[in-house]
Amino acid sequence: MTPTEAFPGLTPNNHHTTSPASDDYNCIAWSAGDNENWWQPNVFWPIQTSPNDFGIGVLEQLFHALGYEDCGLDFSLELGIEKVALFGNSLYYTHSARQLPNGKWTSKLGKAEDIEHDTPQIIAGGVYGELVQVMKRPIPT
Amino acid sequence: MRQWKEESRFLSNTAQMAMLKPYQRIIGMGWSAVPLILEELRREPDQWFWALEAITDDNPVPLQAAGKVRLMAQAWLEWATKQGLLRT
Repeated sequence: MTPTEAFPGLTPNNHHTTSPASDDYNCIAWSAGDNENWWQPNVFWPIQTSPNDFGIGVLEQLFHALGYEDCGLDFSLELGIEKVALFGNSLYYTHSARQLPNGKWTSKLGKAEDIEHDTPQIIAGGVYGELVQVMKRPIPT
Repeated sequence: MRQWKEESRFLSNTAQMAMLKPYQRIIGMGWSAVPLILEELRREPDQWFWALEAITDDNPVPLQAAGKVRLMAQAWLEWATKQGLLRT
């Protein structure tokens, strides 16, 4: 699967690669500021979950536990606030991205590279399904 | 295995990765797939842990290694060596 097939909204003008590929960590870890662990329910996950639940609700619970609150689909830049965007389909959570202080977004693409992209929607519509929710919290001091 | 690697390249949810057809086919091979998975794990650590646990009904990964892909692979390889499934 090529990046274009996986992410129909991704173009050379709206993103750039920021790291080499790594299978040491995934997008959830990266959104949470960790590049050493592969975050997965029942394996490495800071909260208890149901054994066979891998849906978007599990991801929402995770970021809620990390201090984030639901802010609908508002992915605008707010001073002193950091945001994460959650993606999923009818069965699974698929991805999370984190907003950078410059208002752009950073994503770890599975086992592939990290990228910086203009908006969360750019990586929706392909293998990640839809942008389901944005959550925010005050930037920790 | 190559097909699964290709299809799972951009995925982060291991459950979603494990439901891909190539992965399910490997699980469906049962114990005969275990040496192949272990060789692949030794060559390049990846998310084969779900398959190994499903086939062997075992999980030798210590708590402190959970989430650390290379340490998880190492735990499975040590398990396999003890089981006589893998030559050192």
